Amino acid sequence: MTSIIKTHDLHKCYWVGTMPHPALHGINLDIKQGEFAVLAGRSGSGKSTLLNIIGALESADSGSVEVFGQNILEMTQDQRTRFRLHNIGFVFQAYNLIRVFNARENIAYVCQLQGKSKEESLEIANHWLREVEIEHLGYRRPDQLSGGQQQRVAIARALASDPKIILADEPTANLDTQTGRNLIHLMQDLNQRPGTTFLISSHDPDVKEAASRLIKLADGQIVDEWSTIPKTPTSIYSDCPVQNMPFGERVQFKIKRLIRWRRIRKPSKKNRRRS
Amino acid sequence: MLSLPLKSGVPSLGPSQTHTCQRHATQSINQSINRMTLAVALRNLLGHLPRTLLTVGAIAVGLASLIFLWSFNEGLHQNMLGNFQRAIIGSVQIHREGFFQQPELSGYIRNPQKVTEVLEKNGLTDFSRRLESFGLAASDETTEGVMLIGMDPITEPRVTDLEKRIGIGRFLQPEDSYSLILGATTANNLRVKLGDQVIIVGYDRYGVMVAESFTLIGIITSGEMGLDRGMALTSLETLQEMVDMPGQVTTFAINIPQKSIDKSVSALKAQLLDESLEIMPWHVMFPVMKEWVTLHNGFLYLFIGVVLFIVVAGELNTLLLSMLERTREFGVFMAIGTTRQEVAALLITEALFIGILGTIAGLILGLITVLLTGVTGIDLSILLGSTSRFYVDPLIYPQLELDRLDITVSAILIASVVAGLYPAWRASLLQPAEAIRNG
Ligand SMILES: Nc1ncnc2c1ncn2[C@@H]1O[C@H](COP(=O)(O)OP(=O)(O)OP(=O)(O)O)[C@@H](O)[C@H]1O
Ligand SMILES: [Mg+2]
Repeated sequence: MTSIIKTHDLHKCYWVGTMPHPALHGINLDIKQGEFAVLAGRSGSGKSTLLNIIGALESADSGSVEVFGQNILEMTQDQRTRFRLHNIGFVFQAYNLIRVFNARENIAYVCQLQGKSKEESLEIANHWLREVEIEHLGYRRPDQLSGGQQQRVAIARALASDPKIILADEPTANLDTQTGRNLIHLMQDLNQRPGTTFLISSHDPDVKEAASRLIKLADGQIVDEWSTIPKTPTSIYSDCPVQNMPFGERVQFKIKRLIRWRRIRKPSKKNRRRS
Repeated sequence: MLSLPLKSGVPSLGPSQTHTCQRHATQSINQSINRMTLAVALRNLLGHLPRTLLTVGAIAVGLASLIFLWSFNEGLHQNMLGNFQRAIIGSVQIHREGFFQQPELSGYIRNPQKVTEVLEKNGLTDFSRRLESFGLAASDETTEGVMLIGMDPITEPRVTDLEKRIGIGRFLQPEDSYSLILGATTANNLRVKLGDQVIIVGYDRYGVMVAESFTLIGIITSGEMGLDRGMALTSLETLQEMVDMPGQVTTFAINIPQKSIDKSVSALKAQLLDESLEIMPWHVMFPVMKEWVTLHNGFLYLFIGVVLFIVVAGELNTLLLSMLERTREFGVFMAIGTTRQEVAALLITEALFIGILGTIAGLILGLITVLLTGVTGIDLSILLGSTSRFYVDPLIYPQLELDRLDITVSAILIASVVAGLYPAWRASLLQPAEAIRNG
């Protein structure tokens, strides 16, 4: 089986103000074509971060992410957008359908972005609505659909662009067990027939059970067993280089240092006056 | 394991199946995306109807008030300049060169026949011939310097409204001889009343003093300082007889529509080239009036700037709000493959839509207001009072100025594009993951 996603020593820090927070710490991952891989891990372990980086929605600090042999971290914003449009389908926990479009248009929109005519796009949308078994709801807007129905539309939307990979971030988290199960089966079926690769993050046991491969994530690292205690970085600053601090925070950082310096000087003046 | 019952009849799906939209049609992509941007923008505007209407309304009211202001201003100026010209000087005057500076009878027009011909050839039939010179008006008690004007009682009303400004007595009539009209102030100073005799002293073209007795038949009570003081009007024939210049005139006063004054002046200049005449439009004779109008317009420009600023700020506010509100949605748009440029184009399109709708609504609102008030007029008597009217009628009829409409409309449209640019730029800087997380 060919590798479809390959990450090498992936690091990612978030900056809360001027404090670094390592979210991913040396991720090495290799997803093969046709896998139904599930990312499991506790809340805050870095599942969403990893999916966002693989999906080129977010940049990393260091390491590499190769999707179909292309390093997406080296792409420009526009290249990433085009890459997503043709290769990656997203399914979010919060569905994230476009509010002003109805179900059919939500699906057709992606096809139109790819350059298909409106008629053709709508026909494709109809097909995928049938596939996810809500063809009768095509004319409803997202706010007129239940959560499960919205998620079906989202899956149809992700598939309509004929992506090689579907990245799904906790797709069943907002759904009841039965609806969640139906969705899992839908995804499994789509994984088996057209051979779309799935990478799903979830802590839903049903999803984990359906997985062809389970990837365990703990504190931003992949572990073999849940019992393994992940190694911590020697220093957060070695993991999160200061030059990667976002511009806004860096300015804030400098201003704060300036203020602190003034605060140190002021009382000394007062003291001098008093004495 | 449960298997999902799939619809029968669906063809099996391979990696190269037909039901996906992978395509390489780059040429049609731009077209279809433009159309989509338009559709999405429209949906967004309709989806937030109250906010859209509010912004459109604000622009419309702004534009309508600008249109109204221009028109009112135009009406006011036209009224004022019209009244000023129709008071005594006319739109354009023709004299022998140097006469305006030094109004002496020696500077009479040598070939009035030629001037008349040229005027008529140019379709300028509203003109009146005058004989003008300095003189002295004397009553039993005192004297007062005056401008002596001999005017044709028949043709004069085509150029000036003097006839209507005679509050006491009447205007000159063709059969009058040695009848006199004075301004109210002059009459007052001389302490003369209707029917009294006034001695007029003048100089003929050789500088020889001549004096005649006139009967006061009318008093001008215009309220304008320039008219009520320092003028003595009599019929052209009487004055010609008095100074012994039969058939001679010093001045042609012509009434020409405002817009064609400049054109007519240059035409006349070209055709009367070798007659050593000065052809002076009103604003050359009295530049102060024109300067006042310019200054007044300057204030209006300032005001328009302020209104435009408010309109832009309002639109910017709406667009920014609507952008912040939809941060997550923009993130999703980007996540599923919309480029930043397309998201920016979307916001600019929305801004343009709002701008265009606001402009159309504003045009309609403004035109209706101007047309209505143009018929009914706007009563300024409360504001102006009765002391100094400065050639302004108490009832002003706003006049639609289409010349300035295009400037105003394009300013509003450009302003709305500018108002759309900033949010568009902001939106294009969004990182999809961040936008989805924070939205
Ligand atoms: N924008 C952010 N700013 C700062 N810290 C962040 C940000 N996003 C995520 N983090 C931190 O990074 C770590 C990984 O977050 P992530 O969202 O990837 O976790 P997760 O595994 O998806 O959790 P959950 O199951 O709750 O969705 C967490 O500790 C979180 O606090
Ligand atoms: Mg998450």
